[in-house]
Formats: sequence, structure tokens, C-alpha cells
Amino acid sequence: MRRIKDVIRDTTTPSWLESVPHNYGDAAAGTVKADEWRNLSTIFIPLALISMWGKGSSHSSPQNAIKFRHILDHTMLLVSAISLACMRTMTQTRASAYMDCMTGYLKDLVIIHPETNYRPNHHMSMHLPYFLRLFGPVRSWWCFPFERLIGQIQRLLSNHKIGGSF
Amino acid sequence: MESTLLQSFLRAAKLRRWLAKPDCPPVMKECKALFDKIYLTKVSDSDISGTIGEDTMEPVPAPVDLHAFLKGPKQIIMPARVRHNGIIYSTAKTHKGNSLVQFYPRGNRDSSPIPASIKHIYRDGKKTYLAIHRQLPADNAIIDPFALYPYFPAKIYSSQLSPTLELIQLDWIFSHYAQWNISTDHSVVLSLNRVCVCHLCSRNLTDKYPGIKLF
Repeated sequence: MRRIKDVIRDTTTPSWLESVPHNYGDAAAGTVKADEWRNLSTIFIPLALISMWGKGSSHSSPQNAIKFRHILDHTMLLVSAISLACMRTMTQTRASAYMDCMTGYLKDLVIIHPETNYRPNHHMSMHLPYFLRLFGPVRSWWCFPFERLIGQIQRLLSNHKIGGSF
Repeated sequence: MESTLLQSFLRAAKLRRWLAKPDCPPVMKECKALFDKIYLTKVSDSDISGTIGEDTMEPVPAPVDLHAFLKGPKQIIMPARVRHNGIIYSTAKTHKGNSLVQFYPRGNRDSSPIPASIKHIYRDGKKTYLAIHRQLPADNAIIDPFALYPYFPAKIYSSQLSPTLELIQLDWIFSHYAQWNISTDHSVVLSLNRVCVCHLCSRNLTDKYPGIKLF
């Protein structure tokens, strides 16, 4: 966790990249928004994890080294899948590469993390390649514009009465 | 509930389109200026200033390190930042993150983009040039743990910049990159291009997942 915070603090990024809270993980940081999650999972977390557990890193025991390496390779499949799915141009090959990464990730999920169970979202992620092929890059059909609208509506003051005027 | 959401979303989109079109009455244009002030994404003042006054900037004597490119001392316009295809690039002195760019050497799109830091931006005649220092490659002895993941386009470089200054054009730029100093001598360069996967990591995934193809 400390390494992730260090990476967030010390990485030099252009101004268009929305930064994530420096105190990520603390209660004071508040909830992480979707775009921040994406930046965390495709930039900051992989940088931190690879530098700690990747090839050439040192560990207390060889067993630990193997264990962490497995977790890292597995996590990187998810990172790759997210990056591929969020690409601004979509091709048949990219959609199938996404499918390969996601299948690899889901196959090993319950082996590497035995305490986890498959969730409906895992199932839905397998449908994504069809939509990528049908509709193209996710940016043109994802629900974030609506989510943002819901966010704006949530922030409006109301008297909790539906249908009435404020 | 869903139809209310969809309707308000469509109305907002139509309103924005109307305000942006030239057939919009001047009164509404004034309202747009107000809307922009309230709702437009906040960009810090330091990011805007400079791009606005760019056209009215006075020429200044060129710094000594640019003399070689200009063939002698000359008066040039030196903005601190420049906008190209909607993206702002700045000199390292102005904003370090905005100065880190990967570019195609000599504009050749078949070659691998090279990371560099912009030192000067100058306009000579109509053309804008960027004077950059390349990020030096890491020595061969270092193990690059990032090379194993082809869809995570990060690579280890030296944290030093090349002492030679090079001239590049705006069209040669591939994208911005994120840089993190992994140790005192080395830094990780992560391409932030979300259109194409960077060539520099075109290596195979671990043996464990041989089915994964590159593109």
C-alpha cells in the first residue's frame, strides 16, 4: 500500500491525466471514482506491483517469490484486459486479445485467490468482446455520461418527495 | 425514471449543440459564455495563460543552445506551451509532466517512439519546433521486469537525459508518457497513448499464456 502511494506521489504525468488522491486507501481520501479507478489500475498499481514483485525483485524466501510472481502475472492479465477494453480504436484482434486475457484471469482467479467467488460482473465481462465487435470502442457506448448525470442529480437539493416541486 | 434520465440527457446534448452552432442568436451566445464560466472543466490559470497570448508574443533573442539550429543568433518567439490537436505540450521548466513526450525519430511512423523531455518551444516563421533532450536508454545489465507484459507499455530507461539537444516537429509526437523513478539511476517510462499499443513492448507474454497474440 505504501509503495502504491509512493508511486502516485512521485510519478510525473501530463496535466490531462486526472490524478488520484495522494492518500489513496485512507478513509479521508473518499470514494475513488471510475476514471480514477482506471488510472489506478492501468498506471499506478501495475507500476508499484511490478517494481515490488516482478522479475529481478528480491524476496524473503523463494516460495514467497514464486507466490507473488503468480499473483502479479495474474493481476497483469486483468490490467491488460482493462487497457485493451478501454482502447480508443477497436479491432478484431484487440477484442480477441481482451477475451484471452480475461479468460486467463478468470480461470486462475479461484486458484490463486481461493477465498473469492465468481460474481455476476465476471460473467458479464465475458460478453464484452461481442459488444466490442458490434459497437466499436467502449467510449462511444459506455454509461459514464449517464453516470455523470446521475451524479449531478444526486447533488441537487431535494425534499425527498417524488413528483412534487421543490 | 430511465426515460426521465434519457430525456434530460438528450435535451442537454441538444442544448449544447445549439449553443455551439453559428446559427445561435447572440443573446444565447452571451449565456454560453456564462455557462462556460460555471460548468466548464476547471483548468488552472497557469495552464491557460500563455496559450492565449501566444499570437501576440514578442520575439526574443534565441538562447545560445539553439544557435546551431538557427544558424546564428536570431529573434524568435518562444512560447512556454503549445497546443497541438487539443493537447498542451510545455517546456520542462513550465510543467514537467506536459513536457514528457514520445516521438517518432524523423517523423518515421514505422520506428519505435523515443521518450524525451521538451526544453524549448519556438516559432520560426510559421513553423513551431520543439528542442528536446532524449531520455537515455538503460544499460543492458538491468533486468526490465516490465518487458513481460506486452499490453502494459512500460519500459525501463536511465533517469538521465541525453546532453545533446535535438529538434523535432509537432507532427512527430506519438503521445505523452508517465515517468516514475524506480531507483536513483533508472526510471520507468509508461506510454499514455490509448489509441495504439506502443511498439517498444512488442514481446511475447509469459510462457503461461501462449495463446495471447500481438497486434
